[in-house]
Amino acid sequence: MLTDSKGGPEANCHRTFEYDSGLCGGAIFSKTTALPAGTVIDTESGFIMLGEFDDSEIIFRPHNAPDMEEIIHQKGKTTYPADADSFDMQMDNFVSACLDGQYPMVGCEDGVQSLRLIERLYACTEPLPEDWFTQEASV
Amino acid sequence: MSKVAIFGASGFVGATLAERMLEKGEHEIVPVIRSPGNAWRLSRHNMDLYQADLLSGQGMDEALKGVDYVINCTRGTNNDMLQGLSKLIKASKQHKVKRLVHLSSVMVFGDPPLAPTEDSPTVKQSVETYGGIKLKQDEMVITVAKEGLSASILVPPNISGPYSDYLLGLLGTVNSGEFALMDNGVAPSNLVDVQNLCQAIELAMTEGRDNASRYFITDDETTTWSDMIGDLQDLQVTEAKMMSISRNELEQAVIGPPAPKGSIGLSMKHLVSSHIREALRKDPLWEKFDLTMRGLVARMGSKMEDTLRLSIEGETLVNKRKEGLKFNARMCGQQLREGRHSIARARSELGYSPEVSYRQSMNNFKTWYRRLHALDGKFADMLRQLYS
Repeated sequence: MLTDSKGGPEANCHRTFEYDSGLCGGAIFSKTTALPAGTVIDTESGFIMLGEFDDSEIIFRPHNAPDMEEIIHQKGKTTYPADADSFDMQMDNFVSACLDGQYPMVGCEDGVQSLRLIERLYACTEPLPEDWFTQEASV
Repeated sequence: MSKVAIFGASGFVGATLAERMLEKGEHEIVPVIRSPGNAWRLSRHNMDLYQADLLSGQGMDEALKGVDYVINCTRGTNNDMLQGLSKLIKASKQHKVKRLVHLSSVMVFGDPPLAPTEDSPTVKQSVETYGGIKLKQDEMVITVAKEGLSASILVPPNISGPYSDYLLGLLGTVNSGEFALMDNGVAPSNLVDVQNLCQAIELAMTEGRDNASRYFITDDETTTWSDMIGDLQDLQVTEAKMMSISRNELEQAVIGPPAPKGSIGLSMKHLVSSHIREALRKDPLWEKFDLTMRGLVARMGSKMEDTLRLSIEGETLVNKRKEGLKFNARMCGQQLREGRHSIARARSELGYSPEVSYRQSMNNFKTWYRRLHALDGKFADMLRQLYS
């Protein structure tokens, strides 16, 4: 994982993934640059995009027609109110699970998986190149 | 080793200065932030951050303990900038700092900021405007310098380089298709690279006049809007086309039509206009006079009445906008600021010499932008889909 940490918590990191099946991908996180939150999948027929919001549309842009795009959006009301705070909802869900003995939306096993992934990422970090203050930088 | 407190250290200039000083290791730095929420750029370094609230004064004494130089890079609401500076000045005096370096703006000279030298007259502006607030701040620093606090005021134009909010804003306008280039971009763009500004800040701590004299700090290069927008177009991720606009059209859209020249005829027209007459009719005598006059005019016939009304009130004007021209007036309007500012004083008194050229500055910005957006990586094409 490429990170810009200089001894403190990183503000930017990039990571690429490769799976045995041949599938590959990448993830970018930034606390200093406004990146649009979402996921892009490159398929045989085109790009599929999904923004990271409850009311986000699924956008399909075919490779063979770059000027076109298909948009799929949820019919009717979204699952959650538009002004819902995801952090509040996480806490509500956790408290409800504790009180009612229900399994939460994201459970312990999911959390362990995430922690294992994070540990693996931090186990192999490299510095993100920051050569933009050198006067020789060129594009 | 002298101790330097940077207020507003999580901002664009403050963070760049803190990182630069940290790398050089010539000063002990005290990066002062208001809240840790925006301090990611600094917190990734292994350095202590100081939290202080300029308005309440909380944390100020700890931050200023043993500090030699105070750099003010803070921004915020009008209240933050005026009350906050007032508190910072007071605290700097109490802690007997050696010098306060304050970051101002060329906007203290009005909009457009036409001021060939630092001694050009400033322009009184509403404190609701950025220029008005910066001018008020300057006045506060000048006043305290007269009372004995050593102070220096640096006056930059728009600031470029990696993390530049200004360039990011312009790029956003280009990406959204809301940028209109005036007269093929021949107008000069007035910039300073953030590293050049940081160099000037470092120099101003010990060099130059200590009586809050202003110093223009620019790249001192003749670059045009065509150069700058051309560079930003290299980073464009949308298919949006650039619009063209003439100076006249842009002036009309940003400033509005020119004010009419005063004349006796025009003043008479104003005097007999319906708004004035309406106000006068509140007086019984004027009301009687007005009724008599209107009766006389009515007897001349409706055609004559219309002719007289048109000659007094004029036709109702409807502003016509060029079809399809939907541009960001705030960003595009900056092309009308044609002033250049001489850095002769900064060169001779501070020893300032721009270390980063315009070309290097834009290359650095582009490298930074591409790197943090992973636009040179394996998945650049996919990311462009998301960014557009």
